[in-house]
Amino acid sequence: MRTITVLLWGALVLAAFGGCGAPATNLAPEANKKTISNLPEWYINNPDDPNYIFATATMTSKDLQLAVDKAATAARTQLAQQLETKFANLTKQFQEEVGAGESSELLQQFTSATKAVTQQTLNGSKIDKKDIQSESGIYRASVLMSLPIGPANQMLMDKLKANQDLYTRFRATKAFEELDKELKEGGQ
Amino acid sequence: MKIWGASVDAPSLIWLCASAGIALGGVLSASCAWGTAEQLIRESSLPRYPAVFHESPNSSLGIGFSKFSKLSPQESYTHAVEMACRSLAWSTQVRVKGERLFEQTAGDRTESRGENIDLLDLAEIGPEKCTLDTLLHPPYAWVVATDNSTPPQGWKELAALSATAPLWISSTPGNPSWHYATGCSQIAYKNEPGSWELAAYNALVELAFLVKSRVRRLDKSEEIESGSSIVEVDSSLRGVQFVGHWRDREVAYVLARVPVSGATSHLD
Repeated sequence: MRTITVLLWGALVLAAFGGCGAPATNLAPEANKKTISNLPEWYINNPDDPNYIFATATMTSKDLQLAVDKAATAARTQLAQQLETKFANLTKQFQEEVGAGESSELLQQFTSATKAVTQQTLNGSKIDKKDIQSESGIYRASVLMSLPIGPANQMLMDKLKANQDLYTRFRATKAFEELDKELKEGGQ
Repeated sequence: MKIWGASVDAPSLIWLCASAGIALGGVLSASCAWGTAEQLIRESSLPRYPAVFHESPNSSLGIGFSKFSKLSPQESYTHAVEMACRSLAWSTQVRVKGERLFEQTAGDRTESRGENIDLLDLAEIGPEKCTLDTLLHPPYAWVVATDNSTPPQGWKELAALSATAPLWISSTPGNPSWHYATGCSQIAYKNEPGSWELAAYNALVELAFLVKSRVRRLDKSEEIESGSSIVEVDSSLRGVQFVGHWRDREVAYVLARVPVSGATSHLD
């Protein structure tokens, strides 16, 4: 009987203080249901604004600012990739319209202009929203980053205008109409 | 009745269950009482800060504070003055130049591989070049540094920071004339001023990244694929204002802004 009592008391003491130990911190925990349910609404549903491109990222670290920096960097990398894709599509459209055989030199000049703009330089990439959660000894930072498309579009247009032949040919394409429309809408 | 091989009679079993119940109740109520007491202590001991710390006025100024020591009061003020002058220098003019290296590993995780960020072309601001005003509010000595103007009226009034997080913590303000950024830092119990200064520094650096940054992906290096990215920054900032300070139990947050006309990038 005494054995059982001692065992039961021992179990209770263990249960009470069992959580006091410090297990090794997992710095990169797998996302679980709780992580996902804790994510802010904007993380799942990015805002819809034609004048901006958006990227979200979530990162963890034992150091708070490092978690934020990592999330911001991941989001900036995504923005740069999105910008590159956007101008790659414009180049493709231009290529289809001018025809491969017409002037490979023109195409080369166009590609070089878009590359100059999309050397992944981000003007005005801003952390719009930030969320910080503390989970099992580490911080999880989630950010929503936005990038205005206007400055990149304007830079491309200026580069193209600087080359008279290229600009004249570009003006006659739908790719120009598209870029010009975006610029005008962005300026409103 | 037998439990784990030992025979137990009915009265012993009742006593056993009662003991276990009392012990469990004790553990639970102790933890609840601790939680309530902790909350009460927290609410009654919210730190109080000068008014200038809550909402900074629309001008560049530097705020510094340091733990006050009766044994060496001069040293306390010296530290606070240094911090205030540094803060005013950041506000006046600074060029933030550097890069951060990150590596994307398997599973799309991003790991920091270090950063090298320098604050260059800082305005030379010392105690002799600015107006200083002081406040002793134990445990801290406070100093406000302004650039040849009188410190804002009522800056010495003390109040606790809001118990609820201001909106700018989660949502960066938008204004076509200003760039805004927040910085944060874990609060070090032994060096709270340092934590606030680090949060302000982080906000300043984020402002610089906001103005213009360049992401370079080092996708292929000597035929070895890697997912490393370098994010470069080289921005000059003039007229930075640290317009919001807030903290919870663990983290200090600072909101900084710079006029759009005062921000330029040196990246090609």
